[in-house]
Amino acid sequence: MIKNYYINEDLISDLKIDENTELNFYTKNSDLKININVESGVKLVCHIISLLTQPVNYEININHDHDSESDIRLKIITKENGKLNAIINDAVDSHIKGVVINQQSKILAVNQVKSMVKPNLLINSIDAMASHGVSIGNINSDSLYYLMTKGLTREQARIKLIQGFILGPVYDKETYDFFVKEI
Amino acid sequence: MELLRINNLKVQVLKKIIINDLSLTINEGEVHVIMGRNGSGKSTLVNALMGNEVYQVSGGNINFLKKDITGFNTDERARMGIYLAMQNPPVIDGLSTAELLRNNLSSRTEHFKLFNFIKELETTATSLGINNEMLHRSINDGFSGGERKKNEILQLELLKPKLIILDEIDSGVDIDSLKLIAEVLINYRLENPETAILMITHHANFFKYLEPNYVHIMNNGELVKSGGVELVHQVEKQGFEKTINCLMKDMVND
Repeated sequence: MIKNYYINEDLISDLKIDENTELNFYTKNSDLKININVESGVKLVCHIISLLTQPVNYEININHDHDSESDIRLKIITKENGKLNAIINDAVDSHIKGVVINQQSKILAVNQVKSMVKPNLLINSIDAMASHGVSIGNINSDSLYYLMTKGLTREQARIKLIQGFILGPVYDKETYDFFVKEI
Repeated sequence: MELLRINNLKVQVLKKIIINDLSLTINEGEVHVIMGRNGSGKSTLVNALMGNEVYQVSGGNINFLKKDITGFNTDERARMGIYLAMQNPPVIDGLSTAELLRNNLSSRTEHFKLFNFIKELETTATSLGINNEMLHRSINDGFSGGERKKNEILQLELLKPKLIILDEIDSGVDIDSLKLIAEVLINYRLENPETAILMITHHANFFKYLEPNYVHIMNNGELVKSGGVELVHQVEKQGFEKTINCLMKDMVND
């Protein structure tokens, strides 16, 4: 099951995932607090894709049952005063077995503001596999140069790289329209 | 007709002079090759020609189509008709080759026809052995070295430049792919005989397919010798170091 959420206001949400699910949160300058219970034997993929021009806070709490799997992926662009302060808590109790956890966050900072992502892997079980990674960087100068050698102006190239980062090579109209002004 | 004229070019990177007093003229339809050892300044020359900001021109000038382009931005040079097929094209996350070309061509062409574009794109991709799915993937994402080079050639086929710069197009490419790339370039030149090529390479493999009119040997940021294909044979036989030493001795004796 795939669910898309387009969020313009602060969100507090409790979700129970009882079948394999892909959640896509598209947000702009909204604080998020999402509590997710991943039921036994279920796989969750959760994308949070945001374009920030103001500081925001995210708190994502994931509680795992037996043999559950979660993959949390953040793709964030910070522009102007945009800044992310995120805490992602994955919790596995001592009696829970066979859990797989992954957290990957990518932040493209178009501004000079520092952001933070805290991956808290709160694992009390001896039978769990967990990984996390974060990358933060500016627009890649090699990518800009490459696109300019193909005839795009610096500004066109910047826009294409921002759009590509947030939407990917194939995107739907609803998502494009959601971000178009900010891009 | 003269296409490119480089006059007494000096290029520096972080205050270190890499190219010193280099002059070169390329006319329409000519194929020039610059050979040289690692660090001789070949890639610096390519980047200076394309207007890469890291490479500062501190003397001389570059003229293209009789216009001084020394102060032009990279994109202005590209739109004038200079095309660089890069040695290591990067992955461009979230932008496909098809999308890049469509954007590029639709902004350049007054009556852009999407259907014709797709047809030409797919035909060219097929001729280069590029899978259609790769055209809609992020540029160079998951491409092998050879596929990246083919993707560079694919783009030039559609953008139709007047001067093609091939920066080590033969590195990381297997024999079959190299032959395929050469065939596409040969056909392109047949259809666009005024197009000139400037090739940067360490090896002579490619000349079996695309014979150059002029070969230049580069050493320490200077073109120390220019001639015909015989220079390639000399380098192949003696290696760069011995060839350059012989050339230096000849210059001293002269």
